[in-house]
Amino acid sequence: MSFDPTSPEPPRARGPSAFLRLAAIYVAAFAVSGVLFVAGAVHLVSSKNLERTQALILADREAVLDKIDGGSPELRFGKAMAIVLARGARPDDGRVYRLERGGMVAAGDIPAKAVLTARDGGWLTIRGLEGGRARGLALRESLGGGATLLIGRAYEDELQTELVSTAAAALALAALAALLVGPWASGQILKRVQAVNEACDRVRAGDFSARAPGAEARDEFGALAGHVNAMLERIDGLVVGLRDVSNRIAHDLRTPMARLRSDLEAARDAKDLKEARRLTSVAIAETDEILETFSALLDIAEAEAGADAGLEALMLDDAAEAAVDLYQAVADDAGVRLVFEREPCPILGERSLVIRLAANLIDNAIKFSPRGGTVQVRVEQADGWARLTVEDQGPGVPEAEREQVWRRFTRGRDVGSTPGHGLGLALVAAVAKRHGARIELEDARPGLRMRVRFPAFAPTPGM
Amino acid sequence: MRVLLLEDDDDAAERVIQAISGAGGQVDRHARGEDALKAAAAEAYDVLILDRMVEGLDGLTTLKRLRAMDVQTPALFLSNLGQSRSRVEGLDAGGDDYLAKPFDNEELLARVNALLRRSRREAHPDVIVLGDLEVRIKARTVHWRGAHVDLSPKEFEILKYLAENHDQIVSRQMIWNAVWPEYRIPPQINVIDVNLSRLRSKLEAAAGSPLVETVRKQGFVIRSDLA
Repeated sequence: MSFDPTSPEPPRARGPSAFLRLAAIYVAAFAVSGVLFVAGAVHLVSSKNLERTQALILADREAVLDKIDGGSPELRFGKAMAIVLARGARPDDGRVYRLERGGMVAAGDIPAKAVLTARDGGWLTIRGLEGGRARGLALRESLGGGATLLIGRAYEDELQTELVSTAAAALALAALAALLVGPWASGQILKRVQAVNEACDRVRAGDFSARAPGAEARDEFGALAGHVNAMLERIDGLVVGLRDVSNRIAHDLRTPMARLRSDLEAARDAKDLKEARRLTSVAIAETDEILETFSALLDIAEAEAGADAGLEALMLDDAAEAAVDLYQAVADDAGVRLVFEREPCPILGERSLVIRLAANLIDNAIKFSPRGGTVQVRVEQADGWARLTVEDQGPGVPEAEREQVWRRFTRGRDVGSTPGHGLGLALVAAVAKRHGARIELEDARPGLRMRVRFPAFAPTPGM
Repeated sequence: MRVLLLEDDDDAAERVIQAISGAGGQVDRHARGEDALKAAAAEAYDVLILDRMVEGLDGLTTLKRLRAMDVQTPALFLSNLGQSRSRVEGLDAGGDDYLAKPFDNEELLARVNALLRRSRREAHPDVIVLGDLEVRIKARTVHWRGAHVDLSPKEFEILKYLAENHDQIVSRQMIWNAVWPEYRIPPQINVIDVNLSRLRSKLEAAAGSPLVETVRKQGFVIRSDLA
């Protein structure tokens, strides 16, 4: 864990805002899909239009050929001429004709300068029609004797044009709305993200009480702020705990360290080798004690830092039984009766840690039990919890000191010569925390009742 | 005695080499797991001493690979102070013993010797006779000059371990590993001391003199010429 409040730059967004980028991508995607949609619609309309025009031309051709059918080519040419000329007197219904003979235009409303392009199925596309209509479609029919008749129709392009202009207007409106609302909406979002960033910066600057606002909101940003706050809460707890521990370590190790130092000095200045050896041995023993304390502290840190992934299904009563077995001889030696009652209680845990937790509680209870007293160890199910209770008949702990018990280096006031480094119950607290277990102290009148409630684990069938 | 040492820290390696060669052993030291793996697979060593954290392949993986290759050389793990969890991992990986740094040279030698004796002992004897003391392994009974000495199961286990390693100093940690192997938690000193002191007083009551000697700061020893 490295924490350096003096490092120069707090992390900042160094490129364009992610929200603006997302908004731009969204607008672009919207525009592209809009254009594609309009293009599709135009294509559909124009192909329907084409089909309709073709059907009309075919019907018209049927009627025209019917009228000029039979007789000599000359006669047919005459009839056709009559139809084409009569056409000029009729209202504009889109129909267009051209009668040709020997490559010359004889009559009709398709101008000689109009461009005819052949397309599939004998159809001709006409460009350059007169009367405002730009385009048309026609079929060429041979009348014999070098005469041909073009039967055609002008295209209706209005719907297409309207469609394109309406769509363009709609797209422009949408783009305008995006330009106006987008920055405002992303500004709102950015503001909330910024608030979280600011809280993190304040913590970074050393203000561990800073929290991100807006955690009460029920949306994703509320959840984000809530998560950040939970993390800051944990950091705050760790920092305070760490400061607390370092103070205590400094305080508690100063004495043995000072003693170690003076013994080493005495060994250096010793008159004879034998005395120097003796003092060195004493110094080594003191070093061992200090190492043991360190080791216990590191164990606590390890238990606290463990990941949930290491937990496995185990029986709390089995772990407690192992601890009871382990301490049976110690209890016998202290003249204390060790009573164990159990009920099958599956939990999720790390076996060696749970055994240590139970062992430390039992060890503690035996230590403070009067000769002839009883230590009761009980494992039972209670309202969705697996509960381990260790009860002694010792002097108990005064109400005011109960919170203190779980802290590192805490030792009862009247322990006198009872051995211990004051870390046993701190390890219990650390292990409990890692298992999501609750610890409670109660007055057992007389004596102390210590309870650890683990969340009960219900194995899924078939596991 | 040929020892393979996997240790990347020069000072720590020097200490181990001094301790082992001081006792007439020969140490091949490797700083990388891969090299140690190759050497241990190719040659017959009596004991492997493996540091957990080294460059390349770590000690744990090295031993796992060796055990997978059916190399059954006894292995002792070295690790840094206060890593209870790594102790369990070490034993799970096929390690036979576990020693936390910093350690006494005597403790290291005692551990290595115990591993050697364990691997060299071909068959478990039915009875270990130490002068007038008879430890009947199969029957799990103890007799002093023919008279039965009543011991609890754990007291018997401790005596059995001391008897198997007679004339050798064993530490509390070694007793803990041998007698409470299933616990895999750091030694509970008062548990060891209570059981040990009860064993000693029972033996003393039977024999009239203390049979288990205390070696200051190092451990305990039982002599083979008890009378």
